[in-house]
Amino acid sequence: MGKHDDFIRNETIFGIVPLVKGDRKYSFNDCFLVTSGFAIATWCYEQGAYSAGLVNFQQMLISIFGVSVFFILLEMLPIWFSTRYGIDLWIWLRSALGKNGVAVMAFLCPVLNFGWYAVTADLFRDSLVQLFAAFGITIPAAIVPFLGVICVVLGVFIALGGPDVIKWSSRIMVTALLVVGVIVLGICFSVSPADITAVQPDLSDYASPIEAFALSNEGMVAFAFSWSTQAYVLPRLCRSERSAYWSTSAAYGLIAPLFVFIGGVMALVMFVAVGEYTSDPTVMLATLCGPQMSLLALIMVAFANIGTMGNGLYVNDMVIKSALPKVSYKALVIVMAVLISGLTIWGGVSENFGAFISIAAYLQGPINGIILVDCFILRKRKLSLKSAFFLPGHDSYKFPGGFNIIGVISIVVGLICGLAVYNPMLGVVNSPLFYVTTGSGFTLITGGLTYFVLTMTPWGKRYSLRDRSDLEII
Amino acid sequence: MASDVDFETELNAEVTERLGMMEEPGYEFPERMKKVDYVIAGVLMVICLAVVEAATLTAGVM
Repeated sequence: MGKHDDFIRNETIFGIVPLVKGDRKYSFNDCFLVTSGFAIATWCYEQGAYSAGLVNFQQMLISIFGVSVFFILLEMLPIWFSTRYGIDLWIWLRSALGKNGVAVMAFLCPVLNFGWYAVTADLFRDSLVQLFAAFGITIPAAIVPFLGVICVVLGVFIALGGPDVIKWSSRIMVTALLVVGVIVLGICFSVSPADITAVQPDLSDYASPIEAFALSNEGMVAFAFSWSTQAYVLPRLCRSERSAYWSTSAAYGLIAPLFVFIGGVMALVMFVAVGEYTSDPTVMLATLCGPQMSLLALIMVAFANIGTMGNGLYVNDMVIKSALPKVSYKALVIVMAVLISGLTIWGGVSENFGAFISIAAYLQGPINGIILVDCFILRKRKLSLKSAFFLPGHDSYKFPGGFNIIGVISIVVGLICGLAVYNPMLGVVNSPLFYVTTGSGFTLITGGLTYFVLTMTPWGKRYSLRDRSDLEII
Repeated sequence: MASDVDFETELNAEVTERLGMMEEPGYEFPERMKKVDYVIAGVLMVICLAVVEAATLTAGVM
């Protein structure tokens, strides 16, 4: 393979050039399995245990599936352009945020997502320790912090293998995980010492049951938003727009929430069994069913985490590559893996996990609002691809300083409005609007609305919609 | 600096070639989302939103 062929392959598979007909490899099943492999992670169990501590069983079902299906179906609507033009979200967003605006946001969002992966590795480590303990083996304390790195290293191998390795590893992993997940759910219901559907949470720390329910919803909205800015990478490889939309929506809107629900059920079973909501499936199953079942949990947790780590490294590095196209994919994978390993060995991320995901969701909310408005209302599904790639003679998306000021203002307004109804860092509800929209949901509404209003002004049209005479590929 | 210029040039050439392929009359774009896809998605969203908001209003009762 010559240097040029090598370049094309690398930039096609790992890079930012638009994918064309021959590059599309994924059927509905392929995209569904690969995306599900990315979506199923132990943070699903954390999320489920969090909801179980706030609401009763019926409310938990509604909060997990109702919120997820609504927001995932909504935020995935623009995914058609990813498949049609073979481009990532961030290429389109050059029109709404400008080149440097995209560079900043496409770097910030994945970096803020590092917390998810550090927690993934932490749980992998904890599960290993629990499993060995169940069989009477104590791992030396000096080694324990480094066990999470095993998960990171195995994820690196998958990520460096590219889409083909991810596709085949995901087929095996996800099939096994779905089977194991269903078995675990059945065991939970059969061994529970009491009716978990009758459990009522202790709400003495909350102002009202509505506040507790809305907090559970807020967590699920943040969970749904966490996928949004990295969800457009894999659909580039799909053979049709509808298979991309439905496979991605099913993975993030049904499979991930299913594992959140399983986490919630396990937490409720643990609550009625030992009086404590626990989010670690290894602990739950070891307590309820003995060490053999703990082995099953370890397989589940290990496969889920390694698969997530591999897919996450691939997808997040692709996003960062939109911001830093000259940096090699391999280098990005290794740098990110080193960073996650550092956070895992440090072990402090889990303590600040709520802040990590909330800040990320408050940044991603306005971006979701902006892309929906920009794609469907303002640009009416028509982008100047040549301007999006800044080809000579096509300057529609070149803004002073590299920032589309309307996009920047919209993100800031969304962020401020979100904080005005709910402050996730302090956990304080500032307005009853929070119960209706949630804080993260409000950032989407206000970010998108601000972007629409400013762009529709005469100045905004001249400033931001200069591409209407440069639409050659539609 | 020289390698940056090479990268830009090579990237632009590759992007231009690929966009040129998309501009060719016989180029086959992926099958489009159909109206029924948007209708199904819309109906599902409305149902989910209604259920969540109804559950919010009755949160103290459930």
